[in-house]
Amino acid sequence: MQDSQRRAQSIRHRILDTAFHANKGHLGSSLSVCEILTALGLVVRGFGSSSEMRDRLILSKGHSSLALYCALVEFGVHNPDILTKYCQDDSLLQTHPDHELAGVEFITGSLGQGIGYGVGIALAAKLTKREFRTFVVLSDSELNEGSTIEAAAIAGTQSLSSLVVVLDLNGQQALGFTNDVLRVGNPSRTWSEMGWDIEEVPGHDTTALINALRHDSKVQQPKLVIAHTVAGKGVSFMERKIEWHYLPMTRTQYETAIAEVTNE
Amino acid sequence: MRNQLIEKLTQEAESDTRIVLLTADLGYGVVEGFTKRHPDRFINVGVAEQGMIAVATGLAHSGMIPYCYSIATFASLRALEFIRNGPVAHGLPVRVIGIGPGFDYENDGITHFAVDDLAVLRSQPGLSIWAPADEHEFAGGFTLAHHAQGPVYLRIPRRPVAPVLEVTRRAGDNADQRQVLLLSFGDARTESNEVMQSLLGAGIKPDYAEVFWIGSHSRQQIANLVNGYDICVTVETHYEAGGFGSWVLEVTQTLASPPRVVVHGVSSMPVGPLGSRSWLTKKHMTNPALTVQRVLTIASRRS
Repeated sequence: MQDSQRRAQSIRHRILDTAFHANKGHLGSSLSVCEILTALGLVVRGFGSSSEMRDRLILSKGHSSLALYCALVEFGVHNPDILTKYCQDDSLLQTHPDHELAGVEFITGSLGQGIGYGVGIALAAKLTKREFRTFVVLSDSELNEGSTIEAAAIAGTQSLSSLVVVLDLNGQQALGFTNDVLRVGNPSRTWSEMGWDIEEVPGHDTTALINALRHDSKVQQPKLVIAHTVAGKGVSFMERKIEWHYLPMTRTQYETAIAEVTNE
Repeated sequence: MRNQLIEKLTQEAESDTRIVLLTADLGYGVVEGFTKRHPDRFINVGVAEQGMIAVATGLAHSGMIPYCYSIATFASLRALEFIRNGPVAHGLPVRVIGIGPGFDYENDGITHFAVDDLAVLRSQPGLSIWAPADEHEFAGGFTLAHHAQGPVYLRIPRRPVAPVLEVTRRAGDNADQRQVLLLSFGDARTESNEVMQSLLGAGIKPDYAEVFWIGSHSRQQIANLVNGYDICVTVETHYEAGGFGSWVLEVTQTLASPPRVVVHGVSSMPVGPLGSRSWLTKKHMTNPALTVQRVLTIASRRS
């Protein structure tokens, strides 16, 4: 197994451990972005730092905050002990991210807001001729939000080439499969028509993700990386199951899940 | 006033390169001066008020000072959650320009009437509200608004506001006779004058003051202003509930002997037949005679 794939699996392992000990859910959406966050951890310059020239990373799908915390631990931004504070009193590590935690740019959790923040940052970089890039991780459920389309249209119109949005296309949302809940069209076509450069990749292949996230300076467009993922990836009884958007694990489920992830 | 605002921004942007003017596709005949002078820092985001505030949040996060231009209802109510979760939650210097307080958009109807913007925005920690009524107040307050660390909502009249009331008694002039204080908020001078005349007609001689800010920095000023008065009448182009008068009521409760507050504002929902600003004011704002009656009732109980 490649080192980057091992890192993704390590993040997945930490997610299961942390969620079980906190008796919390939001597992399906966190498990689907492990490879995406691994790739970002390797591509984003100054990942988790406060350097002025760092690339910015915004988790627009804030309900996957646990995956972000585990990625920040995986890449050494935080000590592993910090995960014991997940969902504890007086802790910055809750089920949605807070910008007071190192490695978090914005409070997110209300869907369809983080991408707009990213558009603003990329616009500021363009206006002030700064070189950093802005990465946004977007849930496919956020395509339901009109504000996501507003932000995407603004970015396309303004040709914000330093902006990269990674769409976690796992096909699920809180109450059902995305295509059953709301027909939003094919993002590859609709975003292309709004002025975006589109690339589709297998969303659990870190090498493909890293290659897609790398900057192509010839393209003067924002980039949408459509990552085809599986909600609950890596745990057979969670994969493509709607209920694992919310459910916490029993001890038996946890032990089974850990065994599957460990033997992967 | 909106022309003056854009002229000022155009001028300030010469030296302050942090200024960016965003519009949600409004400002025809108003924003062109800025557009021509600073085309790279003028962004029409389209009819996308939420997107405008979100983008402004990102801009402010990166060191810019974005001004977001729209009609007051759209800028405040449509984008409220974005204002709350963005510049308010992160303490960022986003400037939300809301054009047209109260019934300024008269024939355009309730969708365009900013009669509840103060109620929702003044609840937000760290957000200041600035409602200049004329060029003098605008010139005096711009620096404070521009350099405020947190977000500011600029409640800007669409059309000229009546001149400052010619009154003989101003707040604080008669330290030994503090009975009734009439407080006018922002653009409410015409309405304040109607209330003033009604009070005078009833034999009540109120002191008078104008207020243009709602925010944590002005709480003490308001408390000092009203301290010692028996009755404070507030006048605003906003629903009676939740706006300036409610704020004064809250602030004054910290005083040892708070005045009774009589709120004069929009008292019924402006739907159905429409008309001019003055017609809407008569139909939907508190009847000045009722405000006088309320003052007289309180005064009689106190005497």
